[in-house]
Amino acid sequence: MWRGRRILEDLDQEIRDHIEREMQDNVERGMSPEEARHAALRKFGNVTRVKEDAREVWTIVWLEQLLQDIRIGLRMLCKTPGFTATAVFTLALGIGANTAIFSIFYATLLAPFPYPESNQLVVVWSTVGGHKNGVSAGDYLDWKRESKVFQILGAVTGDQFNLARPGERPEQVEGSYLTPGFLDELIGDKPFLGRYILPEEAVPGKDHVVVLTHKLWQQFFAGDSSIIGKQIRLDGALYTVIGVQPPGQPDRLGRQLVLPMAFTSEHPRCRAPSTELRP
Amino acid sequence: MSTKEQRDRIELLQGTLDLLILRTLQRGPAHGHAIAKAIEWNSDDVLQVEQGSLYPALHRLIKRRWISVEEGTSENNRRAKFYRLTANGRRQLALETSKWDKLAGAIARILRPTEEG
Repeated sequence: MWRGRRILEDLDQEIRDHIEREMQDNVERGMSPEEARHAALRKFGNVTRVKEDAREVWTIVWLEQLLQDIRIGLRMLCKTPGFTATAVFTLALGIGANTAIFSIFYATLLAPFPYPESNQLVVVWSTVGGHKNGVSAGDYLDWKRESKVFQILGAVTGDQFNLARPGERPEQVEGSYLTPGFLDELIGDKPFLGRYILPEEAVPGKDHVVVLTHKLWQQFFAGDSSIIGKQIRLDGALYTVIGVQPPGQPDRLGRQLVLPMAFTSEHPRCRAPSTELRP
Repeated sequence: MSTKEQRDRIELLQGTLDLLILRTLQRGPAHGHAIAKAIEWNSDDVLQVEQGSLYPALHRLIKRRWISVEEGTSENNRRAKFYRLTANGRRQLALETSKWDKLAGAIARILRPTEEG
């Protein structure tokens, strides 16, 4: 290509020299200068086509034309900055809005539930006067004992806690009470550190254990890898950290820690998500 | 419009111009006009070469590295580009010449079977 460019640059001069030499020959053969010139040109043929053919030897013509088109396009855009800015802004806004809307659409309608066999997952509610209502602890325990419809039945309810650390300001955090097996058996989650709630911990008096989400562990405990077995203070009471949830999806639920649901009169209501046994 | 002289001239077959250029340069480096003149002269003006078509052919041969180009001074002391056969070009010429001989021989045998005896 570069080798060719050198040669092509000299081609004009070379062609002029060639025709001049031919003319000279013709004059020497006795033609008038005018005749000689015409004859030489006739013999040479189409100068423009010769140049194009020579150039074509060295370039992939369509590529050169494409580059030329792009250059012209960019020049035109530079010439009209107002129009360019408007067009770019419109495109950016359109693409941005489209992406945002699709992201929401995907997350809410298309993305699969991040749980195993999520098509078998249902949420069970009580109804009071035809309206959805939380499940009472008594109902939950009855269903759990007597219903053959569900493979696993778990219960969840939430609360807010004051999380206090020595020497620092207490913070309000969101917590969930979960029945044992909720995280591992029902949702199929595996602890990042430690373990999840055992059945014997869902008993009043033994329920002062806590599972932290990855985010809370990172933000409040600086990712302390020796956190398991340590005690933290929630609403003034001491809880032993038994596990940390993996990063990612659990952090997006809004809850920051998980406590065992031990049935006392304090838990009048809960929702009961469950895995269905038969579709 | 066509005179007898023009009717007797033969248009070059595709690709034969390259062969003629290589053959011409075998005798030594030459500039474009000299190559054109040599081809006309050596074919007794039978081969009709549009002189301009020589240049794309020369570029094609340079690209294939069968000839090289250098600056030089022509017989009447003018600067000119001289084309020179390379070692590759020499090999190519030998190859093309034997191919051409075979082709010409084969066509001749088909066209005049009796003369072959």
